[in-house]
Amino acid sequence: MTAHIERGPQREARISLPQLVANVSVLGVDTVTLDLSADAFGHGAQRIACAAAKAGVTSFSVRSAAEADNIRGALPPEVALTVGRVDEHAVTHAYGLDPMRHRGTKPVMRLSARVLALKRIAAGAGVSYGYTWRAPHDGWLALVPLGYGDGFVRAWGNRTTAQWQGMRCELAGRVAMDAHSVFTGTRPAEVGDEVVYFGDTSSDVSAATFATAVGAPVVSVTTAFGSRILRVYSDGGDAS
Amino acid sequence: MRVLIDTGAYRRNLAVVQARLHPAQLMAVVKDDAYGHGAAHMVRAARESGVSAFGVLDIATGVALREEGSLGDCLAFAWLFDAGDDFASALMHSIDLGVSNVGVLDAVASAAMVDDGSPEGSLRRPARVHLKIDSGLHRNGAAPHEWANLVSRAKHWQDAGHLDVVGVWTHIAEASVADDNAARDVFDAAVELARESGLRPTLRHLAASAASFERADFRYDLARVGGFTFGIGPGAGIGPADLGLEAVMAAHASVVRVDDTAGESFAVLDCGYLDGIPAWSCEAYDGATGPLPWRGFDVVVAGARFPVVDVSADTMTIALGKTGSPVRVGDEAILFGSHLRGEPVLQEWADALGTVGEEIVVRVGSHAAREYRES
Repeated sequence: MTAHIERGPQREARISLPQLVANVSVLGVDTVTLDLSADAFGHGAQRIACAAAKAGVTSFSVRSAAEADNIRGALPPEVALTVGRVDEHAVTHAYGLDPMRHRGTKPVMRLSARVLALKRIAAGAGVSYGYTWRAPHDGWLALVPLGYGDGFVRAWGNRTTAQWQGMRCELAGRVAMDAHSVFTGTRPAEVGDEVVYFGDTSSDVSAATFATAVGAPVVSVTTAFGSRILRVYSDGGDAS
Repeated sequence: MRVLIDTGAYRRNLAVVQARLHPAQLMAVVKDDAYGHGAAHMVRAARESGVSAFGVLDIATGVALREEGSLGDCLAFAWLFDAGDDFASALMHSIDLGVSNVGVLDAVASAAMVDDGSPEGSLRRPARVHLKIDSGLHRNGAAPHEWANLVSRAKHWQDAGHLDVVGVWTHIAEASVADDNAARDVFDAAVELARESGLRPTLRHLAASAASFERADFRYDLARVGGFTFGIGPGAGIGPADLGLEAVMAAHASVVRVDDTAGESFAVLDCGYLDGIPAWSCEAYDGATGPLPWRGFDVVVAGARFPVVDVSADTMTIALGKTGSPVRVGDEAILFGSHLRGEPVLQEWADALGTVGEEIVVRVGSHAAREYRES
């Protein structure tokens, strides 16, 4: 019997609760109102609410009465929960989505996925629908199971890069509904290797980099991620 | 925002596609929760229309739909996995597997072999495998130089009773007629080699929506159709009306405010990018660089079309023109729907946003509560 490969989830949004706590501390736990709308903008409202309340945040907001009903039970009875408009700037700071870090906050979400398959490609050969990308030289592609069905924007293909073993790699060709290809150059990745998109502490590539590539608001990027991207929460000292 | 799903429209689209493909069989693709339409509902409607094969993407989706009951004993085809996936579960739930390489093939065959003495173990049958050739897309699929090895390994496992190679398949790029013809030739050669090696694949499948609709020589035994069944056109100006199809999903919102500013009126709707509405503004076609200014699309309120001028987190703003518009707070706004009702269609949004209708429905459908009706 073939041994099953030991591995993490295929698609992962790692949420650093310590970083969220650090962010609300920088903003002031007494003065911040933390918006939990749209499942805390893709970060997971239940876990974010609990961590923030435990850190001393006493004011929360959501955008609808239905969302308020859903989250009320996760919050201590004494904290305020209001229903109102979304303040995109406030959201950007609390979740560390401002690449300039004007208020000193850092990313809470880190997006990664695992290589599913490898493919050798010859110089000049095309990749994915419409062959919109062609290999600049002989090399290797890594197929990654993230696509626009996961909220991974179709137009990111040919416009953004991923990091594999510390190297910036082009997203080659159109992002399909369930997968895209990354060009790793002359070295092949291995099946199961991690590919990181944004939010890693070792890199300055942020969700905003991906937002800017297609002229989108940064908050729309994390909010769109679907349920196949597993939210993994780090509680410990690891702030990545 | 309200998302309305019309199962009647879905069934009429299926009938159009089935008639077009005949005598080839339709595999209705219901991956990604049926493109945001709700897979269980769509599978039930399709089976009532005589569809008996479904594309489910991955093993977890196939198992979930099998257990939920909507799939019955229909063919369920999964293809996105690596050698570490749960093939034992796939076999127990009779999921057909699209296999691209020897590593995965060996893992599938090994899972088929295991009889651990449990009642489930003794019920296991040979795995039903569809071997995939890469005909140029460079995603998954065995490269032509790897094909002979994959076929020979599959024959070995088939002779040992672990699997049946029931299909050979590929994906094509739809980049140009010449590229697609080249892909078809690679596919034909792959099928020929499989037959020469003693395999008897009865399900040859190459084409998805557009290629199967356009070209009889691409239909083979089976075509995998998703987008067209949901009334989503192929783009570049071709909408569902041109193909005899109709939209299955419609999205509605409400006018929550009307503002008059310097002689111009604007209405604010109660939906925004938090509801999955795309808020990007990139060039319409791949290959161009950098974002462009917002390019508009229309919504319908009170029977008239108005251009969208802004999308925020929780609102959309439409321009009503000079003051005195009949639009009132509480009016229903139709973001997209069916051309048969004179509503804006997804194709308009997709063309304006530089994407495909599929991307819009999966985003919007997965964010909102869906309501079903049968027209």
